Amino acid sequence: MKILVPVKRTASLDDEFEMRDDGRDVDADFCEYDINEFDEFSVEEAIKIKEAAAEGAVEVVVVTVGSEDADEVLRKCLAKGADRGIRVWDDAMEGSDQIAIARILAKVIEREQPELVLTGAQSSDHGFAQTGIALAGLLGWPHGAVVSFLDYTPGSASLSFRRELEGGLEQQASIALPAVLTIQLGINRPRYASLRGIRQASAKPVEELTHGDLGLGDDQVGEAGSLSHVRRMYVPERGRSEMIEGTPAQQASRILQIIREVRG
Amino acid sequence: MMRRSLVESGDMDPMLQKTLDAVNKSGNSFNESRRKRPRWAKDIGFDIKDARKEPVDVLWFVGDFASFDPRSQKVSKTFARLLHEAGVDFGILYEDETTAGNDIRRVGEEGLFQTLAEGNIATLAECDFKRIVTTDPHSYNTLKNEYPAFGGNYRVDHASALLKELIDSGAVTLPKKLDYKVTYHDPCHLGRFNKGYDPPRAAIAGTGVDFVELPRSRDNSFCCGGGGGRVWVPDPPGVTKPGENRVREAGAIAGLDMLVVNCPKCMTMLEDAVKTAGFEGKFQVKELIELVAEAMDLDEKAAAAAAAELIQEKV
Repeated sequence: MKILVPVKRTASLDDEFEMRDDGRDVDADFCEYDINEFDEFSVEEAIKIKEAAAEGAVEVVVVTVGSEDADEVLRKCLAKGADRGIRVWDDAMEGSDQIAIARILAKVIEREQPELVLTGAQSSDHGFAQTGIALAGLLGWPHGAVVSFLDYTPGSASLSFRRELEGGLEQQASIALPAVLTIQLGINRPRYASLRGIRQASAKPVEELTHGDLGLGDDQVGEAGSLSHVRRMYVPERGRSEMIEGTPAQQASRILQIIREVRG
Repeated sequence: MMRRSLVESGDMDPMLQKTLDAVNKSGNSFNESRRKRPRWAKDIGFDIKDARKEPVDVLWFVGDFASFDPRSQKVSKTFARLLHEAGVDFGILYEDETTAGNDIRRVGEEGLFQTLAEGNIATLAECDFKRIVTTDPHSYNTLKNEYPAFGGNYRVDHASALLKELIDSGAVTLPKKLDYKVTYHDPCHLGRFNKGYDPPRAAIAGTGVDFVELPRSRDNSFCCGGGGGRVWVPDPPGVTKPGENRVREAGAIAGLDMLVVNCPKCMTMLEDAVKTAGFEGKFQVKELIELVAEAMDLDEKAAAAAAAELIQEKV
């Protein structure tokens, strides 16, 4: 059986940073990049299932949507024990929102036909927490979100899992395969990928695909294929509060004025 | 070898894993941006030469703790002012220094160590210098003994050896006789690993203090508990910390004023142990460099120089 794990190369900020000239993101010079923290746990969970099964019974495929720089993330997963990687990218994909990314991943999944897809619950930089569940929606597969425990024996038609709810509640559920699960932090203890392991992993195959290879049109990816667009990214001013005084009518007109200012 | 095998299989303390990831990403164990590495060198009254851009006699390899740990940053500033006062032609690598990797190798991450060593060797190859000096015995050990295997062959001295040299040559004078009772803790990587026992003791003797050896010293010294990567991993609860064991030994010396250390990691571990073992206010932990600077009257000299400059400006 096959487990497919989508992974993302995420940015983390220096204490001090500057915005890009277009004001829509942080200048990349001020970011450190690494695999999304949540994906460390989904990759580990997949590898654990593989290691518990008979040799060769489970294949773990890691997939990322990103430029050549994202290869380092795939290599890290391969070093930990994933079998092969797929990297999907071309310039038309720049500016893809989370749904467009899910659309691209869904096409990869149609090609690969895994029984199980494990994504991180969210990404540690943009944090939409949508890619995994949008993916399930596009595929028409059942999904479990924010999974904190997973019990699966390769070969079975379903698996059981637990998810953490608010207020200290836990939900136990079972799900028929194929399915998508989004994995919460702390579900396991991710192993370390040694630098030697990462170097040796460059011998493992990484397939490179474009949106054309996946049968996606130009209008289905990138800015053109996205309904949400980042207008501005900025550091909000902190500690700005204002006591509004006066008659109710004066207060209402001041509030209206503020709303207009904020809306721009 | 056992640690290497554990690292290859990915099995280690989660705290250590975080440190190794940080070193891999940012080149230092503090997970600080590379840009911040030389920040300590601001506000010392002069600019330290950039060894990447101009030739220097002494290339000072600063190391992680001396660059980022607030207590050791003070020592680094003092060492810089001391070298400046002594007329030593020295420089640092600024943002391009990465951790030398001694402790990375000790915890078994051989691949990362080699990457760090190759990176530093490539940086050093572009610089013109006569020798490397470092206040950090860990950096000293690996630069001196392990970098040659990767093609990095340098004369490497620990700061305490340079201090002794400067005192012997008269470049550093110690006009102020210090009236303290002090003892000295041998750092593992300077002492047992590299037999650097005598220069620090000679420097201490020059300050005029009343010096008492610890019962365990030189070949029989006792680790501060920070070596081999232990500085990154908390001690398990319920065990006596090596540092506490060590400061109790110092605390048994009647009338002790100072425990002199000679390594940024020993400073961190033993200063912490003085607090946790209840010796705060009984004796201080000081760097050898600080003791020598005090005997030089470095603060007075700096104040006098600043005053003279001010007068000149006014004239």
